[in-house]
Amino acid sequence: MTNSFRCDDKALLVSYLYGEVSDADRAAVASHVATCAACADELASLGAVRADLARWEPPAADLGFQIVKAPPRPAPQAWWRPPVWAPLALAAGLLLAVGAALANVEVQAANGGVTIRAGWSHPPLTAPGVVAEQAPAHEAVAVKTGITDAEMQKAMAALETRLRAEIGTTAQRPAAPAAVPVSFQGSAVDRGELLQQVRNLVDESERRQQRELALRLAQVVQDVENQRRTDLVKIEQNFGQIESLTSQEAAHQRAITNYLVRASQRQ
Amino acid sequence: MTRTDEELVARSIDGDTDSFNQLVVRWERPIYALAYRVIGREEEARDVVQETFLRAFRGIKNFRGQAKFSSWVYRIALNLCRDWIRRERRAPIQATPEGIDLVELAAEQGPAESIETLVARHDLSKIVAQAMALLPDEQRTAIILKEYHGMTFQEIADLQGCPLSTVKTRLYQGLTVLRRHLQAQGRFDSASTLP
Repeated sequence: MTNSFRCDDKALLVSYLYGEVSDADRAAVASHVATCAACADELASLGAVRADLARWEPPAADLGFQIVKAPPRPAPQAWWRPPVWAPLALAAGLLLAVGAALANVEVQAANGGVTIRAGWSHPPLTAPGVVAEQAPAHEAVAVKTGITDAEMQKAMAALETRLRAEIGTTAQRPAAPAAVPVSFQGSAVDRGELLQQVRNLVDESERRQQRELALRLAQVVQDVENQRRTDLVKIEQNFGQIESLTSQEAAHQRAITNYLVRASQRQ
Repeated sequence: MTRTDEELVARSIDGDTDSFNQLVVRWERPIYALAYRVIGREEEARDVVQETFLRAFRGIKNFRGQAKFSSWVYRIALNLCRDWIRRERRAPIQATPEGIDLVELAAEQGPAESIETLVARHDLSKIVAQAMALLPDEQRTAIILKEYHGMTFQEIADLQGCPLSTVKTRLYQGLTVLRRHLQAQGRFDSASTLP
């Protein structure tokens, strides 16, 4: 606490100016400036500066900042990601498999190509007493995929062998559709046996679908691999062309430079 | 119901982003005004505001309430302003437009304020901004915190990390320089009356 104010006590003068002062100090300063013209003038001019400062407004600004929660981080990328077209390929494979499930499929891999034969094997159920005949017609579709890989041929041959063996086994079963004596009169055939045969047919159909699906998927993967190789070869060729053009251009530039050097030496 | 800063801080620490955004809304204008007056550039002042609240958001979990939230963000903003000034290595530039757009002024015109008064106010604002730019950073910051943010001497001393007496000295010296500059601009006579 101060009972008197000295002219050089600028700290107290500032405290008085801002009103951050005790009552006793306020009274001491007020008493002093009432009699000291210099301090009164200084205090007044500092007050005028404050009045001017109060008129300084920052320009209006469009703020409106908001903290937004970051979206969840994506899962770390695997070393291999299926390409964009993979779902389409899978769907196509499934479609083919479903279609092939209705037919016997014969696969031949030879001469760098794969031949697929599909023939209807299951005749419709016949009326009582009528024996169904095995459908002889084979609708053959040859698909040339341009496979050159010997391993692929081997795999296809193995797959065909296995399919043939399984189809042959199925054909020998008494439950084969063509050999089923069906009677809806209920007198000749035991109903339970008939149900069992139907179940066998359904099971066999499901197994066949699975096999066909595997086959088609293998084909799709192989096709994609072939396309990739073809693209790589094309890219390599393009790079070769670019390199060749660049070399030619460099040689041309070199020739021009040499000519300019010679011309300048002559001068 | 309006929540206090302390309540909003507590919720923010618990991960409530909305509460933090309420703090942003509450304090972004004062922080912008502070940054603008310290560094004198609108665009950079906005950047300072954004960076201030980003840093505050990232560090809110370490904020233990040892100071007021406002003091904390003021400190962050002042550090950013200081970094900016050091980086630019020059005195703040008051980006006051040279010409005055009378159409804009008319749009701002209040019912009791004539266009002449508005022009005079803009002129004065420009003069004050130029005078403030003359001051050393510490004096300018002390005056800004006192005049425009109503801080006590002790709060300014805490923010500037200096003794209370130094704050008073900075204020006195800064005001004295401003007085000379404003007098040179014909702002007021030496025989001004007390406010």
